Amino acid sequence: MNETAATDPVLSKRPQSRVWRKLRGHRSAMFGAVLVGMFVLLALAAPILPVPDPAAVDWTAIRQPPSAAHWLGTDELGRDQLSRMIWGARASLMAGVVSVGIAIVIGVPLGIIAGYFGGWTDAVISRCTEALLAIPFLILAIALAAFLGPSLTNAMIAIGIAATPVFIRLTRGQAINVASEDYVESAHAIGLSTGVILRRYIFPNVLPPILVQATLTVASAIIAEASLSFLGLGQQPPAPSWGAMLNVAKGFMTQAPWMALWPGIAIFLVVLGFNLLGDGLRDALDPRED
Amino acid sequence: MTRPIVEVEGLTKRFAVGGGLLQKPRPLHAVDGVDLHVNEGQTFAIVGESGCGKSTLARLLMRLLEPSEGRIRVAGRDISDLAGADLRALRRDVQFIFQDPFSSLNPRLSVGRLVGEPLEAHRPEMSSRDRRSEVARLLAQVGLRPEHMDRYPHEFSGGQRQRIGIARALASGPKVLIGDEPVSALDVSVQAQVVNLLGDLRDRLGLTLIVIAHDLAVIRQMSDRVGVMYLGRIVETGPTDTIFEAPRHPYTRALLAAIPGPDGGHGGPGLSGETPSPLDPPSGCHFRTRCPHAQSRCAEIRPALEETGQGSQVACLRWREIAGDGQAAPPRSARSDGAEIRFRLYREALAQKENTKKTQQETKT
Repeated sequence: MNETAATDPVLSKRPQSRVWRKLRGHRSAMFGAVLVGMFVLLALAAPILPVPDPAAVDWTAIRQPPSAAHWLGTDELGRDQLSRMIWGARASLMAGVVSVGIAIVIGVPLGIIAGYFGGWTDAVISRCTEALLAIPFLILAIALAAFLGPSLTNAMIAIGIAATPVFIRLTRGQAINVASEDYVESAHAIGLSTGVILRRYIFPNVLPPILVQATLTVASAIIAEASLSFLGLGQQPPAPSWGAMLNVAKGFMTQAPWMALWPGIAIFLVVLGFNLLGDGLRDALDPRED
Repeated sequence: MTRPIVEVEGLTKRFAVGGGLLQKPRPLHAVDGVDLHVNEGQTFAIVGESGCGKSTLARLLMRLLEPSEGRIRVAGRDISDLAGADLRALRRDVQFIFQDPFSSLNPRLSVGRLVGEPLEAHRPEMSSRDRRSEVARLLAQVGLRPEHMDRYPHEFSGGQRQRIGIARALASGPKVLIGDEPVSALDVSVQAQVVNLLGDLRDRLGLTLIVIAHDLAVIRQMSDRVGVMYLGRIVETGPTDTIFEAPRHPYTRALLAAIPGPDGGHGGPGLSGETPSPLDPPSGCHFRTRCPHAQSRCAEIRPALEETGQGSQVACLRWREIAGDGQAAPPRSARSDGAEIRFRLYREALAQKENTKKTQQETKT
């Protein structure tokens, strides 16, 4: 058996994932992945790291610059900035990932239905999408968040809904393409039901560009959460989030600039990481680039 | 064996083309009143230039497209109006082989899944272990290895992929297999293998094959009966040998005359001009604009298929006159000699290929 397998041109090759290989060879994508991974680790490890309680007020050490006791300084209530950065990463990353998750869960099925069935279904879904797309992303998110009430959960829902139209549009276009492929016709010829065709043929084949869009949208969702928190519509005090920290820091720009510096740098790095990862994924998933 | 398994009457498919806010769409007659019947266990070939509606006809027979008019019966059952679950059940009996083995297999499913899918759909009671062994059997049947099951389509060559497509089509145990140019996307050397495989399977499994093709050598090799299509209509149909030896319709003659041969073609009237647009087909006989024998009445009367007395049917008003006309008749002897030599060479090459393949396989195992 082994000898024949060696002479067979297909079996002699090791099965390998082309996408993974290309992604690994993509330097900036790997840099992005490391950046994102680092922040995710920090956020996950927050409870076990030897940092003080992020909400612990210390009136004897307010607005202190970075020092051996407080590596990143303290804020206007004497809370340790390092601890707040680490715990704030949880809120920011959660907001990014969960809201994009919401957008995908709502947007992808609607997009597939619109693209695959066409006709009136498509017309209704597409017109609604266009109406939502006409409103700028952040304005829509702020309006929804204000309507739902200020809390991190509501902010995530608002950002998720505001990001949905992009996913509907993208999925719809992709589904129209995939639905005209021969292999979908072959699925009809086999006698598969519409549900199976949508699940097994359309969905996996529309996914690559959606994954790319997702990593890019995570970045803008993190910024949106920061903006909402900045406006007081996101994470509520005393719980930390990068956006909320920036919001407070703006009042002390001249006295304690480090208060704004750290959350600003963190947002910049995470967004950069997700963007690089998204770019790399797009290249890796494109079969024309080999 | 002569029981008709597929019967088609007056089958028509119109597509609406163009159209907009203030413009009515124009009808395009892709298939225009086709009658045909295919006998059980035979291979029926449909031949014609590209754009003549042969792929549409195949998709209508498969009910991948909705017929505009006409009836299709498979094994005596009218399938023209089937929908939903009934239509899916039809897929058990009638299967399709696609032209392009590269685009017709879902790139994200393993070969085992691809071939196992029809079993999932039509025999849901099967356990996944039984399904795996059935898939292995199907793969072996088309000349692939059971170990190929966990690989993905992009790892295979064109010929191997077409074999995967055939295994997938055979999985539900169909009675009729429809091939839309099943070999035209393959290398010539691989074409012969796939043609032979289809022939073997037909004999072994008692299948009926309907093959769309434009390669006349392939058709002669594999089919029992031929239907020649021109602009959505069948212009001549009959046993393969009769059509090749004594073509009656001027279009068939032109097609056969266009076969390049070692003796440098056969002379005879070739085709001039281009196929008219199916959006605006000529009145009467569709072929009259390119026919060397056309008369004014050809523009008025749509010729019906008539018996020629040799088992074939032809749709031409003047076929008797043309057949009697020595000038226009193709040089029979020259064609036969040339054709014979070529077909003999082709068959020999095939046999040799088969032999070497067999010995290779024997040495492998």
